[in-house]
Amino acid sequence: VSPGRRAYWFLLQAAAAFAGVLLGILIYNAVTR
Amino acid sequence: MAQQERGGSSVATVVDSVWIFVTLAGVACALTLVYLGMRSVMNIGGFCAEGGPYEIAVHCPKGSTGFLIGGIWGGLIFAGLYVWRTLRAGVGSFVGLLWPALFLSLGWNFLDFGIINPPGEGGGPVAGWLVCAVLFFIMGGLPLIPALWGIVRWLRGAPPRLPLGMSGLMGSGGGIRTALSTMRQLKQLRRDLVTPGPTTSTWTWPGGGTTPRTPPTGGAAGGADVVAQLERLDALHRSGALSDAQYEAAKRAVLGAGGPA
Repeated sequence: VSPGRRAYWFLLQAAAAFAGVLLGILIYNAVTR
Repeated sequence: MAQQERGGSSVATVVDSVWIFVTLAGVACALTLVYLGMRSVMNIGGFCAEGGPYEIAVHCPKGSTGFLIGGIWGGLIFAGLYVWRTLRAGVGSFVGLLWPALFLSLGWNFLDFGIINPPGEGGGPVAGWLVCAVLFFIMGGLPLIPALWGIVRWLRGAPPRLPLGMSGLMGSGGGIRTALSTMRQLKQLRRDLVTPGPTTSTWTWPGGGTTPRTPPTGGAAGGADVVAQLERLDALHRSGALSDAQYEAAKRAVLGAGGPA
């Protein structure tokens, strides 16, 4: 696997983790409002 | 043709990307909900109740039961799917960070409500929560070091590896794979035992070596037996239950014993 593809997968997973945390906060706020 | 292959592989990359993105986002979302749900319960003193025949002194905050139970089970399911897809795609995963993320975030809750912002008016430090904070920081912090090191190694060019004992459990020759192949063979053996007529299966022992269940017979029936045995061997070989050498040896044995005279 080339360095470019490793960087791609790393960034994709970092973005996924970030998006998941944001989604969790959104769901929490929506339910507890 | 080459273009078709390239197209196929880029489609596979898109499919893998979507799977990995959605499943990891699901894990992160579940961990966040567990973290926030735990905070809401700690904020009212750390315990609450819902349902049941008794009079409830402290009701649970809205949604907290669902966040905690759903977050834990949802997180486990998403984490399993995430590991499966990253292994399938041959991608280094963040799975080693999930355990530290869970324990460090919950450990922070214990520290925060135990000493920094204890619940209740003029509340002092809560000793029980501080013990939990220390334990959770140790449990989450120690595995964080090899997990981060694994990701750095993968980014530097090393092949992706699962953390701690997970490789041995899931990798080639690992426990899960061996268990699955043994179960497949037991199922075949049972099918052979209840099916009347000549049996054709070859039992492969987990440690290697094969034992034909019945000696092949000659003539037309023997020819059909040989074909069936070869098909079975091929399936076992493709599933990984037989190594190349075992497969070749077994094939030679079948062809030598059951071939036309």
